[in-house]
Amino acid sequence: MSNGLAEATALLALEGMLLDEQDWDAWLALYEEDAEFWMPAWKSESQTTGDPQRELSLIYYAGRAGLEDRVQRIRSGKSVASTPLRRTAHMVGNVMPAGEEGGVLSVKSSFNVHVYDTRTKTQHVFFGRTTHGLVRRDGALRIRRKKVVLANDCIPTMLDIYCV
Amino acid sequence: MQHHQGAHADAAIRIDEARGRFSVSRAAYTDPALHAAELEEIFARCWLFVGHDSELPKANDFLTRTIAGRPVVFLRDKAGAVRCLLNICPHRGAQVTRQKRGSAKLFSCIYHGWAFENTGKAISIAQAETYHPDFNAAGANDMVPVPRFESYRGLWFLNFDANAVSLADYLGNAREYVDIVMDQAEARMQVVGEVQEYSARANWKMLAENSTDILHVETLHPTYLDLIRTNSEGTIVRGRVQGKSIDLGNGHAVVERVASYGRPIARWIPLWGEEAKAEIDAIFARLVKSYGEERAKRMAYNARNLLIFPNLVINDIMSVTLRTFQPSATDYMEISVWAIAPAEEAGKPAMARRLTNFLEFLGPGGFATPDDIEALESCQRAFAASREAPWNDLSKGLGQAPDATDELPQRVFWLAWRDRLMQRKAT
Ligand code: FES
Ligand SMILES: [Fe+2]
Repeated sequence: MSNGLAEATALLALEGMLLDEQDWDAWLALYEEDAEFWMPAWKSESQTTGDPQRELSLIYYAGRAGLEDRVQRIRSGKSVASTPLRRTAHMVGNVMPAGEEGGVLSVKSSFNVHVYDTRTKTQHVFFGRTTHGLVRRDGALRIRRKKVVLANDCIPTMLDIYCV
Repeated sequence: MQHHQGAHADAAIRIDEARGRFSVSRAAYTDPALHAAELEEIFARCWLFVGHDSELPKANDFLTRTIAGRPVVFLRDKAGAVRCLLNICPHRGAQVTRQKRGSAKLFSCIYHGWAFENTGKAISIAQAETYHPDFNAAGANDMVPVPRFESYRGLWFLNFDANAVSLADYLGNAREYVDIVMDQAEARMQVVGEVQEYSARANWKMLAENSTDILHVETLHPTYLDLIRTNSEGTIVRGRVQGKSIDLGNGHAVVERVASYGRPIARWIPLWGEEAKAEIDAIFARLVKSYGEERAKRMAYNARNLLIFPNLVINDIMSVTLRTFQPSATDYMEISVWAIAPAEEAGKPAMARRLTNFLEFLGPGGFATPDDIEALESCQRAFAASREAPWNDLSKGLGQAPDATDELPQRVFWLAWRDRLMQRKAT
């Protein structure tokens, strides 16, 4: 387990770094084909939505294809909100194991993502907590689930997968 | 001063019919005096959207919101009546509740403990025996309700002007378009999940303009169009939009047009699969049964972008959304968005399709809204050059055969804006 935790910690750091470096292919490759990416919305001060099929989320994809669509949008140069892309710095920490079930290792962590917009010379920090569900494939850990609970959810202008 | 503002608003719009030109002064998006006049003549006099009654499913449910800068409590009282009270303690002004949402029969003020029923009635004054015996007589210490509060098809609006015309009269011809959206539900439309909130560093009027602007869709939203075209296996036809924009009076306007994408009610696309086709056929059959073929087709196959002056948008497009925006500053607005759906969809695959449609397009994490916001913010930044380049153009279609991409809804909006700002001067 302690080994698994070190490996998971390294994976989470790598994920943040790949997003900061805008290495989208390498980032996508961390995800399983059927990976779920979910950022619930907040129902009240203390409670988030519980079911992306029944309630409105902030972001929800049932598979990696949705993430690929987003990468395609970022790369296309045709989204004015994504061009020029904001610069980010991911800080991922407090990585803790949160159980293992059916071969999926759950890992909790906290994040700060500093986002700088070159157009307006403004910066914003998105922060919150993430739970990753990890599986082992070909000897390496890969992401089966990512649930992001964004703590500051009144969003200036936009939110994208690389901002969390 | 008021006279001056009226004159100022008049000068903000320049119409040259002979040359088919309609211009709006860029100062109207940046001038603090005009902003102050808007708060007075528009936001303190027009009907403003507060929320949908399905957001308060049970007696004693409440939500706090900020409408035109005022904190309000939107609630269902213990007897089931929907009310809107100003969220300010009659004693010395603390917010009576600081929660975003909750359930409460009583509100008890944090500061000195005055307590109120959720009808607003004061029921306990701290150390009442030390006040004049008549101090708490005849509702003298009750919470203050908003001056007017009325609903149409589950949509609740307030008006800060006690003498305003009724909501029904104010909505006027826009009611038919609200009906056509609300009638899509077999049971009733209800809010799905919670309100989503985001902000934009842009003047509120640009979002009013943007929400009924079909012209920008092809240029600003190519990544969204690419996505749905891929997902719909080529069933999306780009090119000229069939439809028209309509002046509904009172500053309200709608663009109704043939949808080129899947609609949960009720236009099937191959992406959704054969099973969904049966479901959608059944929905369409129900519409035909209830409303006849012609209206059913209009409900199912047309999309609508409706602006209810000044700041409520009902978009009946790939999903149905309500959107309102608060004029926080000349260059800043706070935006709230809701998804609404028929109650009967709850827990069915139809709901999942609707939510996917919503998230793909709308909201701060969607494929379209962030690009809209960036465009608006880009305009606001560029308005710094207004002294040398003072006019925005909204002439498209002026005096020409109608087209769905005309800037008619924007002109309707601005003429109502001008009338409202001039009104005070006239009376
Ligand atoms: S301010 Fe509310 S009790 Fe005094
Ligand atoms: Fe748009």
